[in-house]
Amino acid sequence: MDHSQDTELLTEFVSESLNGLESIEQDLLSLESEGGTDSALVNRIFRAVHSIKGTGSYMGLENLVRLSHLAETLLDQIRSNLREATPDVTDAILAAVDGLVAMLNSEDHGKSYDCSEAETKLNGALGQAGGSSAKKPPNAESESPAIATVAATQAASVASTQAATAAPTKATVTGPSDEDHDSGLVTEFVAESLQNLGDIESDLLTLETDGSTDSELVNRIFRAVHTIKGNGSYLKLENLVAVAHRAETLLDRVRSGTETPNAVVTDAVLAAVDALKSMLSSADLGASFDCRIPLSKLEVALHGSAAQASPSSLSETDIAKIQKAASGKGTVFQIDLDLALIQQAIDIKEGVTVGLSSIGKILHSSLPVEELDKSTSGNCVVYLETVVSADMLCDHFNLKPEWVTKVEVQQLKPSSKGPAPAAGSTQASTQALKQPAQAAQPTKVAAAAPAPSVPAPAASASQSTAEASKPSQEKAGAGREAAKPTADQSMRVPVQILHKLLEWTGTMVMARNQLMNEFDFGGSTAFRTLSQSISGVHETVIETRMQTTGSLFERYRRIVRDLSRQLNKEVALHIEGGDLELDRTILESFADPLTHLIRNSLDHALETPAEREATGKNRQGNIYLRSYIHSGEIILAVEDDGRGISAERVCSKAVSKGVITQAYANQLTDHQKVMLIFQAGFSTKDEATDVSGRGVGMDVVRNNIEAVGGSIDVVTKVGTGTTFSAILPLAKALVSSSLTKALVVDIQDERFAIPETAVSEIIRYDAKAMTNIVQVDGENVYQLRDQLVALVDLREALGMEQQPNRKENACLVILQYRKHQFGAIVDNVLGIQEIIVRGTPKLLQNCGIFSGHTVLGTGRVSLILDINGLVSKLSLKFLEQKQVTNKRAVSDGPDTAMLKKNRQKQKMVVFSFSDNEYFAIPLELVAIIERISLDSIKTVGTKEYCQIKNETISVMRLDSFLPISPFNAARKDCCLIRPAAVSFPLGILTGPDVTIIDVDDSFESRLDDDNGIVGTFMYNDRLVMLLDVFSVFEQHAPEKLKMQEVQTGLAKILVAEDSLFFRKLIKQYMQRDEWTIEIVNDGLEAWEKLQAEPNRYNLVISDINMPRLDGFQLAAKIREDRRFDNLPLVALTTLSDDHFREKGLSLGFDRYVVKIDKNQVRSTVSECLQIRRTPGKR
Amino acid sequence: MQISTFLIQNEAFAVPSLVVEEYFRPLPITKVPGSNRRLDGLVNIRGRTAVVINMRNCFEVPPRAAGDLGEMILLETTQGLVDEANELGLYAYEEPVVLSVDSVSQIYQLADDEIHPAPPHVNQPFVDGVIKVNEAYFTMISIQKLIDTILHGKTEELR
Repeated sequence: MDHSQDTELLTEFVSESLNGLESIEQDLLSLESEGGTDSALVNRIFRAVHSIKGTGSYMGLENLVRLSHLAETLLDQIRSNLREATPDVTDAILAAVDGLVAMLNSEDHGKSYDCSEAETKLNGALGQAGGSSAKKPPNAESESPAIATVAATQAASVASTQAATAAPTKATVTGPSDEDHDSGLVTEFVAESLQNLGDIESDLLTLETDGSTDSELVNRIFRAVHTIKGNGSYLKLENLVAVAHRAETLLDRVRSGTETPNAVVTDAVLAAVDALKSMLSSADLGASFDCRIPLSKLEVALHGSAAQASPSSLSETDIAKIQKAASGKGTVFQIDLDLALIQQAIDIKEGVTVGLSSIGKILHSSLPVEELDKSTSGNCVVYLETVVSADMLCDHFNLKPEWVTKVEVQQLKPSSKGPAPAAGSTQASTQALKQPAQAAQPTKVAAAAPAPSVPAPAASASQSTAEASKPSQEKAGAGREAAKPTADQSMRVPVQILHKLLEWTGTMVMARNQLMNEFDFGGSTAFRTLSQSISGVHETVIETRMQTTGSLFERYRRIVRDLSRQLNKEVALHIEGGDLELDRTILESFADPLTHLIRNSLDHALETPAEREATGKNRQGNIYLRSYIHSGEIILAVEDDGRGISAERVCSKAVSKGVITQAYANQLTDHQKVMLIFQAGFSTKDEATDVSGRGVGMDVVRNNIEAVGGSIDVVTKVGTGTTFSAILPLAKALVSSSLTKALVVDIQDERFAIPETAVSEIIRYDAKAMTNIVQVDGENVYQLRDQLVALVDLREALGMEQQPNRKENACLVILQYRKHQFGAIVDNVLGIQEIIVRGTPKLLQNCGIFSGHTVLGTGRVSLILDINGLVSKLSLKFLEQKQVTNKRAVSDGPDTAMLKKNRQKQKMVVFSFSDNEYFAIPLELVAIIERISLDSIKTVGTKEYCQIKNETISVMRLDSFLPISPFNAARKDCCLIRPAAVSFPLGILTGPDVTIIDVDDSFESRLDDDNGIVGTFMYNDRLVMLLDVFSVFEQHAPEKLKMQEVQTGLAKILVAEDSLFFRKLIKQYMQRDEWTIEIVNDGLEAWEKLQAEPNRYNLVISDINMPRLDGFQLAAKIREDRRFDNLPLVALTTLSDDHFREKGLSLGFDRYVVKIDKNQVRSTVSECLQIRRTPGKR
Repeated sequence: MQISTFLIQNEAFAVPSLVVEEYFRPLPITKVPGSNRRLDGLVNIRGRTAVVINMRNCFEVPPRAAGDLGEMILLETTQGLVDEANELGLYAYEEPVVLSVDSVSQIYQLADDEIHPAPPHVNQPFVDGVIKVNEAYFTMISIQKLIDTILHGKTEELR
């Protein structure tokens, strides 16, 4: 009986069944993790499947019933302890669940659905002797001998949907099998993919016409195809994936430069794009699509010729057709055409298509005959039924005799990997031809079926298999129960409607606030009720959009399970903090990035059980999904305890792939190196796998997260594991029209809103008294308890007119940015209000410092400040603390967060000698920091030495040269700082705490003292003394470092150097009676000085990295000008890489000196002053 | 075609009436620091926020005298009408946009839709041409080009 015409009942059945299936899936996963002992759980799963079967059979949905019946049988065995819930069994049931979901979501409720794969799995599981699990069950794709009965029905369903399909790849499952049963997901996938394909098309055309090598363009195309492949494979759209995969391979070659985007390539990709488009637009998402043409084109582009189209790609229908013809009166020839050869003789379209069909009937062609044209090449196999003889055929069409073979009836074999392993029997095939008509059209009788309240117990189930006809009365009862219409617990609403609803209610709230501002409603109860209702409506609408992160995380259980099975890894997924609520649209934007990260973790990070055991880890790998809020930011983290990411490997890979240069790589910290994985075109795996990519992915992950205003971070330790964190500021997690708390401030009589989450405190600001305001290098800095915070005057920052006097009630709002704080000066603080957040109109989006706007009670529009935007707009740079040798260095002092505007940074190694005195050496002057024990220092005479790796190092104690407290001998652990640019082994003894910090060029000069200290600066409220390393070394080992000064005579030397520190150091190093040193801040200033007085200077020393005009540019300019032909040029820089040196010398520097060895600088300068330049030398 | 006309420094301009929703008295404007110089800022018009385009700034003529707020034209936002205008090739923008002009003027029904090329001295990219009505000339403004100019113009430096 078929009641499927009753649409209302049907819809209800579908939604109820989908709910049921969802719970089954969760239950199954927990069943598996518990080892299948929970009988209540098994019972629940059984009942759910059973009720689907019962109702489905009432509806006449045979496919559905057959599948659920098999699953039910299997579950019954588990229930009665005849079978264990092994992973294979669970696999089979999950496959069934997937199949059921897909059927329910399909338009005809699975009547034309091919569930052979799931059935094979189920039968495979059933075929196993109860309890014996010694023999591995047959795998999903291979035929099982136990399913002979199913074969015919299988063939039927296959033929119905895929009569036309004979794709070289297997095309088995139609429709999606998504685990969250969201048909919206498929719709979304289709819409998104079509959009992407549209983009590709125009990109491709640009690529071809430009003939350009725009790598960003290729990357974009590649990513789009890759995304389609990824999503498609997730939805099991195999035809789609097959085409996308080939296209991707081709594009990857273009991307890596081994293939140029010529016409053949673009043609092939465009053909693929067209094919993908038609597949996506078709009802079955391409399952029945014939993708031979695009595939052959792609093959041509890939290999230069089309893959041999073998007769094995014949479908059953074709075979049946050919066999029928062959057994008839005509003769059937298999003609193997070499298209390239024919093309030379005749026009393919005219000759083959028209010609062949004129003398006979084309039964089958490996490439669609009507689409053959000049651009197709390779081979094409045609089956022709004709009365003409082979000889005549050859003569007439100029065919080679070996191409034409006569087909015998028994000769044909169906494809071994074809969709239906129904053996080559004619019977099965013909049966296959007859059945679809029956399945595709519901019988008329069904429409006139009795009232829906009387379910017919599994009547049609008898048609499928023998077992199906004996469900017990009890089971039928359960089916009846489930078929009762229940009240809808949820309904689907288009998101667009919710958007509109939210927008309107947002407007309502704003209008209400305005009313309250304008009128005094006194104690009006009606108004209060109205006001409450408005708030209530708004809250409720917001609620409809909120989802817990847990709901997102739960989806990954299935992915983790399936993938870990596929990869033969044992993995447990742990979900923590899944109760964080976020707007659905925001949460969804994290779904893809998280999928990628989890896939990567499974594929790359986690080791196989054997590998794990070998390294002393638990066999089972762990993946943790976490969500939490930390300092105003939402963090979604994926953590694994796998092998970790090696910074060095990532770095060398990035260099070899040309993502970065070696010189750049040398300057990176380990963390920065690991972050390179987010660069486009980067991948550590050489071979692309099904699971995760070939170098797309991580950059897409980063882009996706950045697109919603977030960022991504990674922390990894080789051998221990990796944590990826997607970070989103709370203010960015608000969708338009949601309610949030904001601090409303007054700046120059305009109101601005600052998200409350960004405000850490508010302080009265008295500009006149300047309390707590410190000047650091010309910038005002506020001393907030034990830390210094930079000050930003918002009037200035927003570019508003400056009124001479600040109002009395000016305030300082301390803002939180990540871990840092800074102070914003505002004219007045008007308090915290609840505001409705509205987005920024597109016309204003490039301002960058506003995250949106709101309407305040006054009816005026107010802008909402975006703290991240403000920080980047003003180029605020924060001091990052870096730990080098131990953790205590970081946890020691108060967390310093200082910032400066666009300042040059100097990295300093800070260390203590005795307990409370701190010293610093510029990082450039340090070669290595060694950790040693005080006991390892041996005394020889008055000198001390330490043995490190076969090298005897002279140990230097600072207290020998400086008036400071002696080293605390009680401390056994200490460090040895070994300076760079010193030619003999030497180390400075320091305490155990050695830190590297960024310092602005803001230290107090103490040059006059000449006692080994260059200057001082404050760090964490400590006075840090900047060592004059060279002078200390000179005092330590005068015999080694004393130098012979060459007479040079009087000389005026111009030095261009932007760093304050080096300016001072150079000045000191160059001190010599005969020399006059003039130092300027950058290349441009130097050039101006030279222009003003061309003959004043005898020598120019220049840094390379400088603002405005760098050293290279300066050198080029000087060498351009004939007046300076004789002027020696010395480069003095930290850029030690060879290619910089070469560039410098080629641009006209006479010497290239790496910072900064006093001797070397002085001797180079002396040397240069003595030699006369050879004019014209570049 | 019907056109709505307005004055900017005594010169007459026109836009198709189909893209105009309503005229209204000036509302208080919230300035947006760092925005394109052709934009005055944001206004709240009955709960909706609209971007105000200052037409004087667009034609690079000096601002109105202090206290003269001019008049405002809200461009069409009703979805159905926006679609209709777009179908006719008369572009209407997706977000609420207001033109700030000196004064609004008459509405004319055109017998002849012909747009003559603009005189050479008019070099603004958003001028479509000139329309002649009863011996009077109106400079036709393309809203699409105007908005494109603003959207793709470079970010102005912070003032």
